[in-house]
Amino acid sequence: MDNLLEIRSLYKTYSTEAEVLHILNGIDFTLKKGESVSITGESGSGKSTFLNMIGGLDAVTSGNIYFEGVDITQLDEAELTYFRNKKIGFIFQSHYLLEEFTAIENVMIPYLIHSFNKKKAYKKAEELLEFVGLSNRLKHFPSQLSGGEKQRVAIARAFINEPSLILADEPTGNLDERNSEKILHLLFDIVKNKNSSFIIVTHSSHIAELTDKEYRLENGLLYKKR
Amino acid sequence: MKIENFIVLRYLKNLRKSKEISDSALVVIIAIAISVIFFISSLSIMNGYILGRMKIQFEVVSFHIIYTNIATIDNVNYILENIKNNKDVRFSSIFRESKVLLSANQINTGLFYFRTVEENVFEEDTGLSEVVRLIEGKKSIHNNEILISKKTKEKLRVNVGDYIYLTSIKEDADAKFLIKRVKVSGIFTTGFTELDEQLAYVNNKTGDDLFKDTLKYNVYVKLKDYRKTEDFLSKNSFSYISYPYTWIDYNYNEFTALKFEKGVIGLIVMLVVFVAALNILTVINITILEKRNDIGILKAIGYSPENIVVIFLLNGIYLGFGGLIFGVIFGLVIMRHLNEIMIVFSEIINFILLFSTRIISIFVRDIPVPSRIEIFSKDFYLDKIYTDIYFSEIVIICFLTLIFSILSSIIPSVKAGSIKPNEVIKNG
Repeated sequence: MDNLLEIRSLYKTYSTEAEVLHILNGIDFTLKKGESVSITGESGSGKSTFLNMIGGLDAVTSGNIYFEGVDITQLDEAELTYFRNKKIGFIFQSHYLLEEFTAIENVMIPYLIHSFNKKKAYKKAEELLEFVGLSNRLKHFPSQLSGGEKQRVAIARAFINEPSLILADEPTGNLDERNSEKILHLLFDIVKNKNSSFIIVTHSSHIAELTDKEYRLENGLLYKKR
Repeated sequence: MKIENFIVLRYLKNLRKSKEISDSALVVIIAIAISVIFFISSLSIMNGYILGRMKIQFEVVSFHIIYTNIATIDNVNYILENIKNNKDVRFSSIFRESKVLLSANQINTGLFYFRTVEENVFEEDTGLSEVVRLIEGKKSIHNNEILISKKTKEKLRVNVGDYIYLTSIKEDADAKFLIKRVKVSGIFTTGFTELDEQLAYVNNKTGDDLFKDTLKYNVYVKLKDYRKTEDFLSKNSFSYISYPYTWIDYNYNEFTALKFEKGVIGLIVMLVVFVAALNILTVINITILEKRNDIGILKAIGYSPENIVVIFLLNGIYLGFGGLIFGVIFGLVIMRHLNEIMIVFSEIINFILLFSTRIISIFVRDIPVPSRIEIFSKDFYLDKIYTDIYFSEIVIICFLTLIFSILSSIIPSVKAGSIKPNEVIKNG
């Protein structure tokens, strides 16, 4: 299997007036194409920061992140924007759907940035929403959907541009146990179906066990558990 | 820009979901609309006044060209003969002018420039006939008849059919008084009260009886296009028998001053539009505060800072455009019915005033009844408010409003574009 992602000596520090916080202390990490990985760790250990840096949402202090051989730490804002749109699918703890748009429009929005082809976008979004079991909720606004349904829409949105990598930051953190189970199965199904690589940040060891590899982030370093 | 437009239109469509944004947006739209109404009103009233003033001056007072001080009637005929078939000339005729005192009922008007004209001038000079509007009697000046203005009628307390006396001073060494009794044939108004006070018409034959041969002749010319005056004059000069005056000689200072006034008023009202448009800044700021999560997620899924800037710029432009549309529509409607609106407004104020007086008089004895208030007094300057607006001015107003809307939106939009998605999403 080829490497999709290679991270070398990744450091992240935050400077405050009082002190310098060392969040990541030289992480090395590799992710193969189609591979799924879980990252566990205590709150505030830097899991989300690590994920955001992989997704180009946060700048590195030092180190390199090679995505399909390209060092994304060297990309300018426009290139990073394009990278996030085409290569990465984000799923956050909160759904972050746009309240003014229907479920299907929320899914379509990432697709429409670079080619405003509403018909094509609609067709793709419809297929994805059907896959996540929301074919009867296409025209519903987020306020008309349940928490689980909203997160399903967010999952469908993450896959609209067929990204190589899905980054999920505690995607079931806001859901009850029953809904969490359903969403997780759905998420793993769709990742498998689309053959995307997958990194999930979670507190749950049960969720972590579902991935190909397990890592734990502690003291700014990544330890392989399995 | 399609996707940005798609997003911003949906935001605007759902404005009512956020009371704070919708209230602020409504205030902005109303503020811009009102300022645009002011802009249109100011320009159209100034235009109306300038055009009305120009028309009256051209038709009644200064004409386009006056060949003055022509000593003999033969010379007059020579000039008329030479210019009457000119394709640029709309009308030309002869007149004489002197200072005359009008008296009746032991009242006199004071001296003013008095003109004698051809007997049939109101039939032939359609421009003059249009401006000199008949109120009573007939618009004819046969021998020993005079056409006076409404203002003069009121001053001398005369009616159609009454007699008045014209007193002139012979302009020679004798300096004798010349007096002529004439019958009022009609009452007119030009709409410009100030001018009305200076105008009265008798025919040239009646004028001959009064002025004898002591007064020289003039020929006035009205061109089809007043802007061709200089050109016409360069080709039709009779310097050896007369000195020509143009409308520019008579009116240049006044028209220049009026245009300057219009420019200053336009500039002030433009600032009002700018201040109104500045409110967009507040609305965009509130919208950005409410939409921070949206901005964060949009950036996370691949929207560039430029996309975000465009979304909020469009937001500001649409708000400005909304105010502009309402402002232009209401502005034009108000200008079209300004005089009727002023009357209704006056009536409302007078009703409130009278009603309040009645109420107060229940408690306070001998309170004086207030006199009627006229917001726009016809006795003051004009008989009505003249309005006119050019299409090019509407285009300039639209352009400026949209530019001001963009300027007001730039700062908050750029701020929105610089929001970091990881901070918003982390905090959200």
